[in-house]
Amino acid sequence: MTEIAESTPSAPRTQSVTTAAAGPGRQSSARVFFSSPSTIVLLAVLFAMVVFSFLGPLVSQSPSDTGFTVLSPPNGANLAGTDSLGRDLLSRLMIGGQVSLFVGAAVAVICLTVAVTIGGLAGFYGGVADAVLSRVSEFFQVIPGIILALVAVAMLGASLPLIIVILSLTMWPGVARIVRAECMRIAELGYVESSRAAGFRPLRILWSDVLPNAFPPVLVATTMTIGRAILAESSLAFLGLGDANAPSWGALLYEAQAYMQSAWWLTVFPGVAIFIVVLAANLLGDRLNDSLNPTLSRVK
Amino acid sequence: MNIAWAMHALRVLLSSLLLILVVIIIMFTLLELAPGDPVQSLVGQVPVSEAFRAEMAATYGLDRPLPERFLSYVGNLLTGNLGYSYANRQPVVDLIVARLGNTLVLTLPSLVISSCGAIVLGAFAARTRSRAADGTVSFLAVAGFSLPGFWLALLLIMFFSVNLGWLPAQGMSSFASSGISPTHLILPVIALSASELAFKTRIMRSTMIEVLGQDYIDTARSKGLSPFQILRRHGLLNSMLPMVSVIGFSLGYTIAGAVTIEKVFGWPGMGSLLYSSIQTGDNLVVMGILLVLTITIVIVNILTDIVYGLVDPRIRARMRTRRGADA
Amino acid sequence: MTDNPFVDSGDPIPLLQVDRLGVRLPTGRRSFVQAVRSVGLTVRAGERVGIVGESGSGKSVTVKAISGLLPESPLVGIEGSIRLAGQELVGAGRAAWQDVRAKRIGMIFQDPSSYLNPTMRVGAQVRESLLAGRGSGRGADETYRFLELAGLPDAREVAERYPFELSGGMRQRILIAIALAKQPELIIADEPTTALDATVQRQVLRSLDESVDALDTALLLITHDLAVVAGLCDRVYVMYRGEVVESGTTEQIFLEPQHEYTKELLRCVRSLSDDSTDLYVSSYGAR
Repeated sequence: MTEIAESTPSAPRTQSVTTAAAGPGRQSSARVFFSSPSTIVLLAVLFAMVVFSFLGPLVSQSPSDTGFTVLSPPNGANLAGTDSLGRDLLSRLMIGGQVSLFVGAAVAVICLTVAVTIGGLAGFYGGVADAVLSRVSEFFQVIPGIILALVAVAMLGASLPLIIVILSLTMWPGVARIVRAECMRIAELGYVESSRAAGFRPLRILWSDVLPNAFPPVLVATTMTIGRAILAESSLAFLGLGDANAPSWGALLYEAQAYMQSAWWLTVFPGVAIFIVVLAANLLGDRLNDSLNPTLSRVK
Repeated sequence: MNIAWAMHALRVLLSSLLLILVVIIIMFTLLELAPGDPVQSLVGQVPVSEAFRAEMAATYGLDRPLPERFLSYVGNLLTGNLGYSYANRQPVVDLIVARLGNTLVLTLPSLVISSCGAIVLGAFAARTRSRAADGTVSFLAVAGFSLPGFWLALLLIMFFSVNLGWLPAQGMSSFASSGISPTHLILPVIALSASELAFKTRIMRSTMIEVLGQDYIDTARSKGLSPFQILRRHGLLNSMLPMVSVIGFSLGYTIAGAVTIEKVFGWPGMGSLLYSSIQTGDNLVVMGILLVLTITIVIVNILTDIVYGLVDPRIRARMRTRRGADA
Repeated sequence: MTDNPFVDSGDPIPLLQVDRLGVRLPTGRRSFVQAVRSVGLTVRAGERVGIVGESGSGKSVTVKAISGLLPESPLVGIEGSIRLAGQELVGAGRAAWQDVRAKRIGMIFQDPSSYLNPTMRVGAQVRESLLAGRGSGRGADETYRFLELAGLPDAREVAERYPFELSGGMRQRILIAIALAKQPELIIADEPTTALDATVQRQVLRSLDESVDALDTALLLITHDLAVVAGLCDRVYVMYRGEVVESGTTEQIFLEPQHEYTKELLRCVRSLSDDSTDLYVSSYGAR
């Protein structure tokens, strides 16, 4: 099956990130990227959500205070309404944000680390790392990671560390594939050969020459991973598999189901929060991808 | 049929079996790692009789060493014995089979809709000269897969069922009738298709842009063909080939999405069975579903491979001849 | 051959007349490069003209402008005049260009591995050109004729193949056949042998030579290889940085180069052999 897939320009399960030009072109891409108004807006949105989640609780109600009227719609005291236990939804959204954002970031960081290591070795050296990576990523391309994660969390118990580990396990191959492709591409370029000829040890070449240039597409893949991780965690939480002590936005939606008809705010707000963050992350990844690959090829 | 084809078929078969084996190993590992009493972790939070406990211990070799446990586990699976769901009082196999059809009724239309829609929208976005049109489609696509599927389902219910009362909110059919009523299908299928439609549209678009940027399109232009002729004769097949693989893979992801969607709509399929089994800790059922899912996905992949071999003319040509390039 | 090739010796209107051609290409969202500055050239019916220059000299862009194969983006700017048998093409509408491409100008591209549709049989690709050029009703036999003309004797068998099944030389001949099949007035060959191995290059050029002869078409040949020009062309234009810096008959260019750049080009060629006349006569045979 992979034999056929390799002989055509087939798209990987992760976003089809095309490779970037290494070298001097990169500086100007960074400038283009950061100067674009849409990028600034997106970064601002993400930053705002982080501030909301982590600094918001300093100025809002306590999330566990059940003193408010049960199931009341958004009003002066409770900007997002209250839930079935009389808790202020807005402050619960903040706490939920801490969990969701943390999971997204943690999974992305872990994926990045593992992917860079294994993908870099695979792309540069080939051999065992390459074989392992190919098998594993093929596996996760076919079997949806979310199902495995679902089953694993269900059977092993839903705790935040476990969820993060399992989600990372299912998502790193996608990023690693991109790292590998980039390393292979860069290894073909001239200046790696000259470093090799100059006698630098391969590992050092990998670290100082290859990986930094592989960085941009890998950054794009990592950004996309954040969005996917947040969505995956929300799905798990929605099915009751979130960490009970760390309710994320998904967990809020889990609680909201019974009140779909009577309390729309319980369903709408957490979902909007997820949507905004994931959308911003994905759009950022797209912008980043576009700025690395000027779409002049569209001029036809 | 020559050697090359046979080798390829063998390779596909072997990797499929390997895949199933890996999933079985994963399931077994999870069972071993699951906290608590091994029998309880198999049947869930229901109290079991001593007799049943003894029976389980015998069937699954629970008091034997690890390798034997693994072998008896695999042995059971191979004989089609997926276990007995104590909570449901049925063999797991029967339980799953009863639900499988319902899930397919949901996932197959979603697959068709998301695939066809993606091809049309992706091709449109790739070819349109209007940056606004392309930008809109692209943006909607990103929005589509940034949306949690189950949240979309909830919103659809809130809007179309609760508010407008146009479409039913739950179940496959109304109380009076049995079977599946079309109006009950609408909202779940929409919710299920959205994410895959968005994802595949992006892929189709970028594939087609890449294809239309190829050199052989210039050759086609040099023949004085109209843009439509160029698209139809040179652009279409080359764009569709990667899409065949993408569509094949997407079945697995569609079924994965069905888990939450079925739960939201109370749709009695494998997905909601998975959910309820998770709630009660009935892990025999959970793993049975995982296995059935894996096998389904593997079968679909083999079919995709076959379809691809039929659609790509080069593969048929490669199989005809044994020679490569002439001098 | 008279001294001044621009004095007309027969037909009143040259087949191709390009004057003051300028092409501006976008290199980013807001930046441009003037790929071709003010180029003028003439090709008469049945004539063989070569354009030489290094990469970046604008020769490819020039012929793409002539054959209407520049990107169809509004960012691309073309000015000047391109007249095909008197008909002005710059600013002409899409239908006019399509007609020109289908029937009157045939293009042979440079890289046989990427300029053929990988999932279409080569015979079908040639037939497509045939039908577009001459209308429907032509059988497969016509296709075989052009394949043979391009130097592929087992036409019947080759036509059923896919590009991946053919060697580089054979694929290039398919590209030649595609250009021939529409029986154009002018064939433009953009570095037709650059992507091929040295041994194959000669054979393919011979096929090109013979087929252009057989159809009595005019040929505009782009190359950076002066040896190729020596064997195939009556007249030569030398391009450098988007402009024509020198032109003349092949003999004039080789024996009496005026411009520094031309001399430089010749020096490079000469350094490969002791006797320059040897190279001029070359194994393609004196023209």
